[in-house]
Amino acid sequence: MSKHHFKEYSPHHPDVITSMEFERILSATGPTGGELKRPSDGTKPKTIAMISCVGSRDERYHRYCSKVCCMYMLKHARILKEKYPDIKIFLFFIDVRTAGKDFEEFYVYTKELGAKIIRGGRVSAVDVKPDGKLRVRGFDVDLCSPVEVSVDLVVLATAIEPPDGVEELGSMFTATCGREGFLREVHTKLYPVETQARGVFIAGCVQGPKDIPESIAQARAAAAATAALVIPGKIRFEAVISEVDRDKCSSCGVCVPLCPYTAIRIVEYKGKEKAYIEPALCAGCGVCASACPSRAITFHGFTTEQIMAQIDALTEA
Amino acid sequence: MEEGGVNVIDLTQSDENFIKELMELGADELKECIQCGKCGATCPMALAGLEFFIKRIVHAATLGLRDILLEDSSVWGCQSCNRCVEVCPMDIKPYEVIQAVRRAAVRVESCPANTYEGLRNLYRFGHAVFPKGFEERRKKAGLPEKPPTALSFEEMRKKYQEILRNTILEEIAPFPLT
Repeated sequence: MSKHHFKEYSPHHPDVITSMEFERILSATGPTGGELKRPSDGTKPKTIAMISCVGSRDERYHRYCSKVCCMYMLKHARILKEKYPDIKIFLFFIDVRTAGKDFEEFYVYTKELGAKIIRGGRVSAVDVKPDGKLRVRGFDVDLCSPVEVSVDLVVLATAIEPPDGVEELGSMFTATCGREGFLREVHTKLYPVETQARGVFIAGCVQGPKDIPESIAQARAAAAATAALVIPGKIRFEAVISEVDRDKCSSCGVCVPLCPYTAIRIVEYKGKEKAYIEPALCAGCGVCASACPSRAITFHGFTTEQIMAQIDALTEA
Repeated sequence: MEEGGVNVIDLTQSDENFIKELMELGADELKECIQCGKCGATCPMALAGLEFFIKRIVHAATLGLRDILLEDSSVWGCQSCNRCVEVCPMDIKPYEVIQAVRRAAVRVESCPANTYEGLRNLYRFGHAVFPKGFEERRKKAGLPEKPPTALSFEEMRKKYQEILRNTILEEIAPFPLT
């Protein structure tokens, strides 16, 4: 997210930057060649405040936790403290989320280096003081007191957002987006990389905020799932799918836009345009069979004869 | 602590040297504290309602808030029960932080008056807590005027004072050791 959404943090000030911009400042290939310089006047900041959950866990922007910010804030603090031990760093967290193997150790190590952790402290405001310094106002739940600190540079850990155009990308292969705008997997636990579109798999932040190890694990899972489809050379499809009796089909095309899996195409058959259901794509939902005005679509397992027989049996009694 | 008395703690005063001093004075694992609060949940002073109890003292120490720690008398309320040391999951020995703050306070003579009173009593009589008029009360209860401690044994007390004079007390005591 851009810093400009957050008017309370003085985004007009050049020394209020996002973590992404700070990452570039720290990078050897970045605009400063890896030298720590603040954007306004190119001097080295002596005191830095970093603010977490900017746009995350916030009903006005994104309700989800962006997951990686706690760790990269600590990473930035660690890099700075190792390189410039005299710098004062204040990290404002709502709470520190460093779940997982080795991550808590990273947190404790960063604390030992001298980074100051302020919890319960989403900052309420960053003001520009008359002397040009930035005043950060927060709350420290451990001191149980409002706190403030004057700093030279403010780094906002802004939320991870789905990129523009994900919705359109998904609609190209009938993958759907969740409420937060990320592509949705079929099942959180059992089918974490599968999408509604068969044969299309997702990995990385397009599915939700996640870190590098998780993205790689997901990418490998997606690659393995793809290979499992491709390597046998043939695809086994479900028995319960729909099929068009193309001699009956009136070519009205009603079924084509209805299919949620884009399994239906109009193809030439005996010199005429007729509907055709790709069995490898059909998921057997039955929408097309119930909509077909010519009753030309048979839904295997639920044929017209079978359903009529069921109705007869029920009404006989 | 500025702007018309609004009770805001200014973290700009955070002092790295004070943290270093406390670590040298025994609180060497101070920075590892993750503020889990287990010490606060067992601290009798917290249970008694003291506002600035162990968890907050440790946090203020990790932030290097010298003035707050030295101006507040909370560290002197610690009963030295050491429960915090036993429960601390990070093994930072919270009681050592209290002791370090006390030592730092003694260095700059920033202790509550009754601390010196106690110290003087300890030196003079062998008792830190020495309520006035105890002789009367003891008599009323049918006890000898003086308890059978250092108070009753002049010679032992002299020896004990001599030992104390060879300690750091010689330097820090704000009263004559005679």
